[in-house]
Amino acid sequence: MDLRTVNKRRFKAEYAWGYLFIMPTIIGLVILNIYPLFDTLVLSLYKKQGLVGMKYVGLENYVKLFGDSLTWQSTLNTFLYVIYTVPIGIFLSLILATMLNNKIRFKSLFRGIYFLPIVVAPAAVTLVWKWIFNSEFGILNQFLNLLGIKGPVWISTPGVTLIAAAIIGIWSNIGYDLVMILAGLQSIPGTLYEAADIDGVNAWQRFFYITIPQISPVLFFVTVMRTMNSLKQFDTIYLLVDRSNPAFRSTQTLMVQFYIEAFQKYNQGYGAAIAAWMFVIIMLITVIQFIGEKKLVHYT
Amino acid sequence: MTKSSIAYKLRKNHVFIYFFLILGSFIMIFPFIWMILTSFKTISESMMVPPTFMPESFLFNNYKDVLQLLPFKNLYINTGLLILFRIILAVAFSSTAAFAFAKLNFPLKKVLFTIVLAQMMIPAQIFIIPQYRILAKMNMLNSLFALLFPGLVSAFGTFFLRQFYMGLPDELVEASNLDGCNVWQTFIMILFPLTKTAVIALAIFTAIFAYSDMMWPLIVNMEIEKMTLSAGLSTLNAGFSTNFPVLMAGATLAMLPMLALYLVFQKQFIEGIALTGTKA
Amino acid sequence: MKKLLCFVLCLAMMPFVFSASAENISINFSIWDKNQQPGMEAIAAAYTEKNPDVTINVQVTPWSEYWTKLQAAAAGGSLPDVFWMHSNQFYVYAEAGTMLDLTDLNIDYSPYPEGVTAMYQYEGGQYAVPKDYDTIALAYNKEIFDNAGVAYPDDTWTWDTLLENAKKLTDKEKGIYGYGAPLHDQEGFLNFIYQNEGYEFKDGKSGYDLPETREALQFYIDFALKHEVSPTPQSFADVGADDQFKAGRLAMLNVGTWMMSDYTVYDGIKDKFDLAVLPKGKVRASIYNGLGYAGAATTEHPEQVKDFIKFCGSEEANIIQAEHKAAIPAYAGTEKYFVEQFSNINIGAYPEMISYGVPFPFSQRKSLWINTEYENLGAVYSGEFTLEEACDRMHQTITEVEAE
Repeated sequence: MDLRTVNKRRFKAEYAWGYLFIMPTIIGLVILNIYPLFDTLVLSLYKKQGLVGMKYVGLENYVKLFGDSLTWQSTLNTFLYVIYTVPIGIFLSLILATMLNNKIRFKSLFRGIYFLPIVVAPAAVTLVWKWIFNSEFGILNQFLNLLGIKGPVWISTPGVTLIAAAIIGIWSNIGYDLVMILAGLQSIPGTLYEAADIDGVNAWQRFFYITIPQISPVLFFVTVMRTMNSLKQFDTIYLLVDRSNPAFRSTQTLMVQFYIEAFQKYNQGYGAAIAAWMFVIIMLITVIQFIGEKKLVHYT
Repeated sequence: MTKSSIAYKLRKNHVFIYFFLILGSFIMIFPFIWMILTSFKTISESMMVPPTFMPESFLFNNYKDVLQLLPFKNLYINTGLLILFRIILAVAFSSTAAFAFAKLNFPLKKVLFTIVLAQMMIPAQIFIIPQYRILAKMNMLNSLFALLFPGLVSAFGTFFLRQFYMGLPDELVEASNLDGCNVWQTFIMILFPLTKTAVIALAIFTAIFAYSDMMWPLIVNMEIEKMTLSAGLSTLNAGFSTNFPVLMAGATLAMLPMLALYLVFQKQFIEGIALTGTKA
Repeated sequence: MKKLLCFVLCLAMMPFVFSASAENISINFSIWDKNQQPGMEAIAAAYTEKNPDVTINVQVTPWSEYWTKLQAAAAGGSLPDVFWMHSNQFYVYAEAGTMLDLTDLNIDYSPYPEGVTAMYQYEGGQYAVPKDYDTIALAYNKEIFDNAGVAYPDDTWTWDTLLENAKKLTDKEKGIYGYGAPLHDQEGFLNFIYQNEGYEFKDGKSGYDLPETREALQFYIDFALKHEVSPTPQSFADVGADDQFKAGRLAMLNVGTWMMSDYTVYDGIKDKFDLAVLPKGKVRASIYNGLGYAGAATTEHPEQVKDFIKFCGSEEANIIQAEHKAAIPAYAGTEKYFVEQFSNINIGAYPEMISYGVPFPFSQRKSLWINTEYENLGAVYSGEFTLEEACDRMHQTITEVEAE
């Protein structure tokens, strides 16, 4: 056997193994993701007929979707939720991580405590906070009463409920961002700071000109994660308000609207249209974020 | 500046830091404590103004009630099996795929990997309705299989592990080839064991995700005995939306397993999750 | 390692590969109330005793998921063999032809409340057999009445007595309200509408344009808005009406039969409350509803399913149901077994009212307009609309939806 044949055989074997190893995943992705992507788009062109039928209606679902003020309200709510949770959440995590990144004791303990909300289910967490936010008997308003402030009816005042949901969202996710940012902070080479000290740089300048750029990849990552999670937030909003709640319209996000239409009212065509709309929004935001990455993130 | 004044400045700052960290810790922990305390109160006790801190007596009534309302035994089992199988599937299929993408060569490798990347970019809502319809057609709704369905393969897992395999030296592969190992043996005996930390991280990540997921289990498993903990809790909320002591008992029972695991394996949890983030 | 993996995967797949193969016939029976599971299982057991080759699996799907699951099953052609049907949803399912026509069972429907039987008829066929009925009664907290020195409600009470006594019983300092008026239709405002000779919905038309309806709604809303003898819907969103009653914050509340199995075991209230018939308006009225047993048109065992449903409607099965306390059994005469179960309260108030009961209004498209009531009336409490405006809007929405 000459070398060429041996090599050919080896390559063929390698190809075979390669395909074999990736086959389950690829087949899975095709069935679970590629096909569904097209199926959703096709479905969005159909409308429920009676109890079990589907009828082709072209773009009618989209016309209805964008003509319904509820859709725009949901979209607005979704954006508001992101705006409430992402900047404040990351800001707080950044501060906490910076604080932790000092020569203090009990670092692991603190880290463990802040990370705790991450491991427990959002469903359970939301129920606990629902109780805390209860306007007459919840501990938050009772506490505010002590300070002489009359707390709002958190869960059924339009506008306020979304803020309550945001508070829950921030509380639940600080730990994750904190851990990430802390890891980023800890990987900044000390030499950079030493060089800065020699140059007589003050603390603010250290922070803005060294620390932030050094951890900008982590900050970017955390921002993307947080934004994506907030856009797709379902559990908290769904459990906080139901249809008979006066604050429902001002709190419902696109994800909740999607679920209600597709799986409670069983309008799968209309639900698919909502999913498509969410897809467009998320893609747009992703593009914006990547443009931001190019401009603001400093990779060493 | 003298040494002692620098030290003084640092220590003063540290007091400030400790104060905030402790305040923050209190905010993090308080809801859990409040949940547990409320779960032992009666409805009228929980509605006192001003509120009582400790319950009058530690009655287990609410727990008895909630155990009657939700079949917790089933919820625990379903959740446990879901986590177990999701981890097995994710690790098994993602490891092989990651290894192949990282270390093997075959035609169309780049194209196929793009499929993996694409899935990670596309938001999951797009997939939900069709996945549901497939299960409905297969008549496999309300089953463990339905719960597992979206997680049968993991694009994230593949991507994540691939980073690790790429970090392993190619020489290892060549050396084992020379030793006469075939590709499978190279993988399973040499390279796979080297990814232990990453596999553990992926397992933890998958576990937390599967446990927290409420929407999908709620969509596909509508019979109460087939639900997971999160989905089951949401039905409790629907029926008993303001019986807070009972809700708190339910929430406590739902959190208990993960909390227990976390208390023991805290370091692994945090480091594992951190790893999944940094490699991405 | 590879072998272990294979083995584990095979093990995991087994439950899906091997389905239970039974020589006897297995029927799925889907319900939504866990409290009634023992009762339904007892009926199933009684049936299996007579028909040993048939086993019946009672499956509970929580109410919040029940209709979603049913609809999914209908779309997939895999409805449970037997399932509970509710008047709100009946038309949709009947129109789609998902249920078995039970007309040929030749059941005598005279023992059942007429309204309930009618709820499950469609185009001349009978598609569900009445299971039970529930009415709305006035629950009151004896302790609060005693403390305030007010006499217990009885059948002489009118709207005026109700309001008068509610005022006497309200004690803001103690956080006690005289009468709970939450934004509920079946238990709440519908009763008042019909007691005032108005209607919500009849013969395809909305009743929200009638002065009688509006007058009743105004009276109801005023409990909270004008006289402050009731908490507002916002307060009820925080803590539900039943929970407030159980915590001793409401002196009176309209409560449906289905809550009795809960009220009578809850330690804080079970010995402190009693029931009375609803106060009289211009006439007496109490909203009643009834569930039905329906069979799937696509079932593989239509004969057994029909036979089982017939059994469920029988006197024997209704007695079993009564003994398990969930709702008043539909079969006339068996309600005494239900009443017997509750020795210390005037549970008889419920069956008493069926003689002037008003069937819970239903229509084909009700599910499409039912939320407009909550939204619009809710806005009256928050001051966004006046009652006139809200009623106009509701009237318009209902008329439009029904005309589609």
